Amino acid sequence: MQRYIIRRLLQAIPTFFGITIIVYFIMLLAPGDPVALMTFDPSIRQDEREVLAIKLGVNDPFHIQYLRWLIGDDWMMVDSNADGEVDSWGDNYGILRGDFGSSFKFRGSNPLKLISERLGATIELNIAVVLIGVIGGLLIGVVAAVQRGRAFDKSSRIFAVLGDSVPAFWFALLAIMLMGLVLPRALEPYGIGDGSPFLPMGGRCPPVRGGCPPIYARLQYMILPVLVSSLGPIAGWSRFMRASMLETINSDYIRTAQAKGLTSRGVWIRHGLRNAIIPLMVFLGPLIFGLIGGSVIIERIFSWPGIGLLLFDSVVSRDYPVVMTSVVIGSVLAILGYIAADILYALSDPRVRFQGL
Amino acid sequence: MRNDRSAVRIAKFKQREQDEFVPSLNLYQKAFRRICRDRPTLLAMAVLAVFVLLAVCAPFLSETVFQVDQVTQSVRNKYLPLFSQGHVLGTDELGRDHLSRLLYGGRISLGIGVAAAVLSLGIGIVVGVFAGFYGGLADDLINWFMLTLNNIPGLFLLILITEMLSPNPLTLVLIFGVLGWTGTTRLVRAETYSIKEREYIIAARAMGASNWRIMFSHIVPNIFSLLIITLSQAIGGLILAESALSFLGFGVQPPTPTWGNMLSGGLEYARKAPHLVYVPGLLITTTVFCLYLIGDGLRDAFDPKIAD
Repeated sequence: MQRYIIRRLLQAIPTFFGITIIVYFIMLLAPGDPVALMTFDPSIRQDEREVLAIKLGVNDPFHIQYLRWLIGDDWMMVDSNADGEVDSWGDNYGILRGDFGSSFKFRGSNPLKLISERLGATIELNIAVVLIGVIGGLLIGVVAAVQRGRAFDKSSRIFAVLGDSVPAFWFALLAIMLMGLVLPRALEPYGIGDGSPFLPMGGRCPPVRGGCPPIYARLQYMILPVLVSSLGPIAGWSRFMRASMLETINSDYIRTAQAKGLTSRGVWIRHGLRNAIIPLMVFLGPLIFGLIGGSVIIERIFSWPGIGLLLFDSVVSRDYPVVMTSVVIGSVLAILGYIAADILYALSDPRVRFQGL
Repeated sequence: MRNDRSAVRIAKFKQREQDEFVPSLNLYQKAFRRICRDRPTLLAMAVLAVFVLLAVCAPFLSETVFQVDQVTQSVRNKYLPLFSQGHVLGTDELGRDHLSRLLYGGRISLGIGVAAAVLSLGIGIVVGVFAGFYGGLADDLINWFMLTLNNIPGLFLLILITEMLSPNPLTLVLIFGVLGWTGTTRLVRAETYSIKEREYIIAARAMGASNWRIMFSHIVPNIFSLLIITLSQAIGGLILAESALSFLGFGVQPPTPTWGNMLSGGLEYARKAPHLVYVPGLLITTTVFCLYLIGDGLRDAFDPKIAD
C-alpha cells in the first residue's frame, strides 16, 4: 500500500512540471507587460523601468525566466543595477520553495496567502456537492436498477441527460429567480413569508466583521449553490450506479443468494449494492476534478468567495502572480484528488493488488 | 384462434430474425435499422434538424419571412415582451429583434460547436492512432502531455487562453479544438492498441501494406462508429462550454450574437425582460439535450450488447 502511494506521488511529479511549463508559457504570451503594470505610477522614470525590467528578467530567454520563477534566483548572480554586469545575488525563492511573488492588485500581498484565505470556501462547497451528488445519484441509480424498464427508470434516464445539458449558470439563475422572486410573491397572499426571498441569493455568510460564523450557523447560504452544482453529479452518478447495479445483479453470487432464499431486499442491498459501489470509486477523481474547474461559474453567480472567484477577478484585473498561483494550486489539488480517489478505490476493493498497478 | 396467434408470433419472430441476423447487412445498415425503431432518438434528430435548418436559413427567414434584422436598434421598442406586434420573440435591451438575433446566434453557436468538435476529433484521431500504433517513447510522451493537459482544470485553461487571444468565433474554434482532443485520443489509442493485433491487420501487413495504409485505411474505419458517438457528445459539450465562457465574459464579444452571449447578456435584464433569459437558455438546453440523446441512441444502435 505504501509503495503504491509513493509510486503514484512520483508519477505526479512530471505532470506537475508539465503543468508549470504550460502555465508559464501561456502567461508569457499574455497581453500586458509586467513592468508596465508594476510601474503604472507616472512619476517613475523610463530608466527606472529598464532597471526593473532587467531585475525581473523579462528579456531573458524563456527557459531562464521559467527556471527563475520555478526555483528562484538566490543561487545565481543577477544584474541588479542594469549596468550589464552581474553583481549581486537574486532575492527570489521560486514557487517550489513557496515564493509565488507578490500580487499586483493587493499591493505586495503573498498570492499564497490570498488563496489560502479562499481555499476553505471552495473546499467546503465541493465537499457538500460531492456528498449530495454521490448520495443522491446512488439512491436514484439503485431505484432505477430495481425498477428496470419501468416509468421511474425511463424518467431517470431523461433526467440524467437533461441534468448534463443545462448550462449551470442558467439553472442557477432560474433557481435564484424562483426562490427570490416568483415563489415569495406567489405565496405571500396565503400568509407564507412576507414577500422577501426565501433563501440568501449569494455570498457565503451575512456581511459581518471578523469572518464567517461556523458552518452550521449559515447552512441556508449553502442550499442554493450546493443544489445547483450537484445536479450534474447526481445525473452522472445515477447512470453509473444503475449500470453497475445491473451488472452486479447478473453475477453468480447473487444467484446463489437468491437460491438460498434471501429476501429480495437482502439480495439487492446487502449483496448487490455493496459490491456495485466499488467500481464507482473510479469516477470519484474526475468528479472532484470537475468541481474544482467548474467552481468558477458557481462561485461567480453566487458570489461565493472561493479560489474560482479569485481566479476570475485576477484574470480580469491582470494580476498575473495570483492567476498563476491559483492555476498551479488548482492543478495540484486536482492531481491530489485523482490520487486520493485511486487510493480509495484500492482500499475499498481488496481484489485490487498494488503490485500490478 | 390459437393458430392465428402462434402464426402471428412466428411471423414476428421471422421479422426479428430478418432484422438481426441477415448476413448481408453491414454494421451501419444494422445500426440504421435499430435507430429507425428508437423513437426518442428519432425525435431528437428531428428537433436538431429543425434547429440546423433554421440556423442555415437565418438570413432568409429573418429578412424575408419575418421582415426584421438583427442590428436595427430602437429606443422606443426596448424590452418588448414575447408575441409583440412585428417582433414575435420580443426585443432586447437595445430594441433589437430577439428572434432575428437568436437565428443568427444559432448559426454561430452551432457552427462553433460543429467546427471545434470536428477539429478536436481530427487531432484526437491522428494523435491517438499514432500513439496506439507505434507505442514506445512516442506513446509515453503523448500520455504525459495528455495527463498534464487534463490535470489543469479546463475552465481555468480556457479563461487564460481566451484572455490572451481576443475571442471571436474563429479563435474560439481553434482554442476548443486544440484543448479538447485528449478524450478522443485516449479512446482511439486504446482501440488501436487492441485492433493492431488482429488477424486482418496481420493479413494486410503480409500483403505488403505500409504502416500509413494500415493506420488510416484499416484501423480508423474500424473505430468510425465510436467516433460518430463521440462527435455528437462533443458538439453538445462545446455548445455548453461556449455559453459558460460567455457568461464569464471571455466568449465571443457582442454585438456578434451567439446563444451563449445572448443568454449571459440577458441575465442583467432578467427582471425587466425575462424572455431574454428563458428563450436562449431553453434553446441551448434543448440543443444539447438532443445531441446527448442522439449520442446515447447511436451507442445503443452500434453496440446493442451494452445497451440497457
